[in-house]
Amino acid sequence: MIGELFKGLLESSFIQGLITIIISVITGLTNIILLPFAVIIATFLPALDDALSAIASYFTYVSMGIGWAISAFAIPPVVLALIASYTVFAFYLPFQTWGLKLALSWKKTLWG
Amino acid sequence: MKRFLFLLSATLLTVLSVSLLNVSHANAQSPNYPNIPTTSTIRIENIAGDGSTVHSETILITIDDLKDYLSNASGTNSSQFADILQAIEDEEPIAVFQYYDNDIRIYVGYDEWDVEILPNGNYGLTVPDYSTGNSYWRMYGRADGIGQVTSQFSGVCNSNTTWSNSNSCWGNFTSGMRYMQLSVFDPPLNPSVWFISGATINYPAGYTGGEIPTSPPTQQDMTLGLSPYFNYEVDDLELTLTPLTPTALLDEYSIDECTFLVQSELGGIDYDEYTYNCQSPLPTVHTFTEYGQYDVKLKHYSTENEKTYETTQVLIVDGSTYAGRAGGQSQGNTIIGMLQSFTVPTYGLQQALVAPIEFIGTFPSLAGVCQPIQLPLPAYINQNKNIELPCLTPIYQSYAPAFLILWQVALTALVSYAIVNKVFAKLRETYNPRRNSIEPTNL
Repeated sequence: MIGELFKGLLESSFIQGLITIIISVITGLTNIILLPFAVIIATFLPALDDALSAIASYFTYVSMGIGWAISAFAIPPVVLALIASYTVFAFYLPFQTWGLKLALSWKKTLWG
Repeated sequence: MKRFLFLLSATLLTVLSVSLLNVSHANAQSPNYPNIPTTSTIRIENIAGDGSTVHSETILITIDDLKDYLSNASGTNSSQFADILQAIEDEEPIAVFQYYDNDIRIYVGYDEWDVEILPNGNYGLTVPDYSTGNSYWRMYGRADGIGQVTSQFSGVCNSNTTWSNSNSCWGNFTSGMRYMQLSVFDPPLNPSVWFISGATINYPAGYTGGEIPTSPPTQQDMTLGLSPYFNYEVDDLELTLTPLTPTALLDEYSIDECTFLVQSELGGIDYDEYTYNCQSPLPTVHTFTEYGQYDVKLKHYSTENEKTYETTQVLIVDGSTYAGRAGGQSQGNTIIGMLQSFTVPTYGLQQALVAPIEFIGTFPSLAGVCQPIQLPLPAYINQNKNIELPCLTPIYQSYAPAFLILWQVALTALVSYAIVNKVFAKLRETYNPRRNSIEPTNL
């Protein structure tokens, strides 16, 4: 019963939607933080920019065969959801703690 | 103490894994064909252009259900449905259902490429088995987005590029080729409307077979079911909404009742409903009574299949002026769409850092999705001979089900244990009072 609930939760559209939202937040913040550096690289080192773009292209290329690889290793859906959830958690936690500590430091500064 | 906790965790995880895996292996087996389940689960999803789910349903279908479904079905696939029904009557091994992106496939018979249903995003034609000569296939198309186009038999075609009018996708027929299809990857991420303009087939010299059937030129939306888009323009309290002519793309049923309604998200009194001519929708103006957040819903009903297709867009009316095209379903999905449109990386540095997490984020949606891989044989590259690596999980399940279960239990337990450990370590690291900064490289 618990197993079914857990499996249902991990494979639910809620979790997948949550992962999508968090990834979008992380992506957005990453883009904003790195924008100045990215612009500098693109302006002065266009070849390096192309090389970095190739990394993303590599992932796109790999993603075309990932379904087959998952099938070859017989990885169950629960494991895939766990890996994605953990990765999102690991990336998102620093943001949360940073925000919390920032808020606490402001409170300490303002009200002692 | 540590050892005890480890053993306890491992035991719990194993029990949990077994219970999880028992669920996924619960399908009954056919007595006549032990490798073919008597029931299959099909998940049908209607994915809007922005990736939101407009409609989804899961059907646990038996062969009898399938016969009923196929008997009552109509549309352009009806001849293929008849073939499948005939295969059932002939007691051929049936059926393997596979859900792949927006592609629902039904394989029938000993030859898995015998019959295939390609509702959307795919275009298929059946070709007779003949040796390669001066024969080729070629397809033309256009997309207003970016997608990956692959062909089933001839490797990657225009991979990861915008497939525009100027491009066509073509390759040679190969010996033994029974079926060809064109698949478009990642439709939920790419709100594309694809126009598959038909196929050109060059028959080889000496070919005496009949004409290879090809479908007429069609326009195919990447969403299953209904094309959900409508244009809107908000100017202060005035909304001008122009629905587009709806088409039920999955079954090609006619849509004959169209309404849209405006409702306050908080359930306020601002509620209005409009009906409009489905075939030639005219702009409708709605005046809100107050600022706020509203749902604008389009509801389309087909009396033919008695289905209602629905799509929702959240509008924030705050006195400003804006316009756009919509097809999302809920506020949450609208936020996702907004974030995605806001965060599309344009520079190599951003793309390089964002790509891995986006890659991992696609994992949950990849469960059960597999396409055989085509690899060219090194000695026969010039002859266009490929080796096909089939999807292996069904093979494991057929020949070594016990080993498969054991492997999956062990894998689930190991991954779960490793992740639990890592979560604890991550939390402990978070408590470090000296670490209060955020590093871009952590991303």
